[in-house]
Amino acid sequence: MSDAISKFILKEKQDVFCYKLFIRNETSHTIFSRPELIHLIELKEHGIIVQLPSNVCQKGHTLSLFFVETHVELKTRVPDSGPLKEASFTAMAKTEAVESGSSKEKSIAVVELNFTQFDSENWKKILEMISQKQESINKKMKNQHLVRDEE
Amino acid sequence: MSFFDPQDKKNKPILDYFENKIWLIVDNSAGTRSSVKKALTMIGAKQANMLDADNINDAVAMLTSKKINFVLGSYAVNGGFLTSLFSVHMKSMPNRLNAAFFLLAEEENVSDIALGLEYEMDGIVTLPYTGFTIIDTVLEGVTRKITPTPYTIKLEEGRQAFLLGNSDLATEHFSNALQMHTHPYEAFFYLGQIYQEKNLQDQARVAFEESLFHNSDYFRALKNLGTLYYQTKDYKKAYDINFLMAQKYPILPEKIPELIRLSIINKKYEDINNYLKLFSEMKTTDAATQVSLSAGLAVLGKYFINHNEKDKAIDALKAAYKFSNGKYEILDNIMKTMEEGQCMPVLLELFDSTDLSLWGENVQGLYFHTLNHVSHDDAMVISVGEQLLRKKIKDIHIYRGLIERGIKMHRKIGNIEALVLEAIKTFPESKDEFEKMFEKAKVSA
Repeated sequence: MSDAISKFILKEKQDVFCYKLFIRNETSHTIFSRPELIHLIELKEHGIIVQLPSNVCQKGHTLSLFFVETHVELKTRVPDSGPLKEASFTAMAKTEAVESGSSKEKSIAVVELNFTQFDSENWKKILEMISQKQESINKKMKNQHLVRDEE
Repeated sequence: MSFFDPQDKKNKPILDYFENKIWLIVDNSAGTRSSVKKALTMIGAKQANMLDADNINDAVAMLTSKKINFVLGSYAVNGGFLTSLFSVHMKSMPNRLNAAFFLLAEEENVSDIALGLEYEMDGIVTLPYTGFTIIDTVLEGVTRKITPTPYTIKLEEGRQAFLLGNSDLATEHFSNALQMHTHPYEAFFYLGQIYQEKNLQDQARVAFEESLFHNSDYFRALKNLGTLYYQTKDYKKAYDINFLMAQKYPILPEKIPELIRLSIINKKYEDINNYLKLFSEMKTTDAATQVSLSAGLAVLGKYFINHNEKDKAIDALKAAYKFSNGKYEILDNIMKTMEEGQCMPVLLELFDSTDLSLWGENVQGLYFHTLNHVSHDDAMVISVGEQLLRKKIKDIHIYRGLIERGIKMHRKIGNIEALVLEAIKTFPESKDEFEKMFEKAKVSA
């Protein structure tokens, strides 16, 4: 019993999405290095929808997005130009839509970012990883009903 | 995962099913709520039919005033937890063919899966989602409701009757459902649930066992049967079922104390020794899990005290203290066990090394009792106790300790009487005890 309990209780919580996001705003020449304030909501075929502080970008801005694996610490700050070497995936994106937060969340915005330059194969792998995690959870919920559903 | 094409004619039943259904999205983040609502329009949900709430109270108000078909939300929301909406939703929409409940989860948290299974939620949507993942998860959750079989319809009629309090009609429906599927494990389970509610334990046990005969993986039957075995003191079977569950499914942390008790009752010595090693070496985890571990370690500590393994008892109780997060009931349990095991000086050291102002005020009463038990310095103990009373921390241990010390120090009878009267006023159920103490005070005055 103790082994069975430890299998679950001692398991570290894992993020569904194993990356943190750093943003360089190429239009306003600013850098946002607080990934803990960026809340990823949706991953689209060619972009993402995120919630972040409202001063990070405006509609029409061009951004460099650096996806760094969660456990990786940056050795230096995000550079003013060029690549971020710790990033596993990088994309250039355009800010297509900005929705301001509610009256209770005035300092945040929900932003739709469309990729303009990115490695599509690499992004597909990330989307596939998300799909697989979701499938794994769905299986855990549904496997107990195979006997019923197969009839 | 498949791409859902709303233009494909074969998907029309799905679009029809969702067309006029009402959704409630519950999450602290306006961005998440807005984005989820847009994603759901792909399966025919209408924005006009989508409500949202960023706190539990508003969500409850909406669920009780409107017929909301689907709830989708994150576990921890302003003002409470999503699971508190479950019973409200069931009451509002007892026919579950037109209702579903989904959890939004940001982490691969085994507790979320355990919660999903426990409440028989219709799915867990992980964040961030893709268009496919959210749609596929919702569709998987409601597929059998869109085109239900006669068995499913009968089951849901039974559940509706049960939720509306008509257990006789529910029993009739579930009994009929038994004939409608080769493996009617759910029908057996729901019958078992009715018997369990009526305290017909033997019948409930038989029903749950039948359910598991048809499907040995059915979580709810495993869980309820485990509980029933425990309640009827069939501890070996309770252990075996819980062991089976622990191998197949995530464990809710609150189960830990019960599982430890079962290991103790069933003399699983390897488990018992492993628990102490495992839990003591744990790194930080969330507060709820810590408190459950603490309660479990307190059970372990008591076991070791009862078996004269004092060193292991102290290790277990120290670890229990560490994880207690200041929870009064657990600390009280630890204190009683330490008192039994004559280890109160250890507890006093633990209290002295803790900033008790970070915990609830009532814990100070336990601290006082420990101090009173250990210290030979009457004046100091009385001073601490009186300070706590001045701060309005009215714990029964404080009154007891101050009266006992007052008697010992031969304080003026008037002072002791005032304390006794205040104690009786605050704890009237202990009137006899305090009156006896006062009699003793008068004799020794």
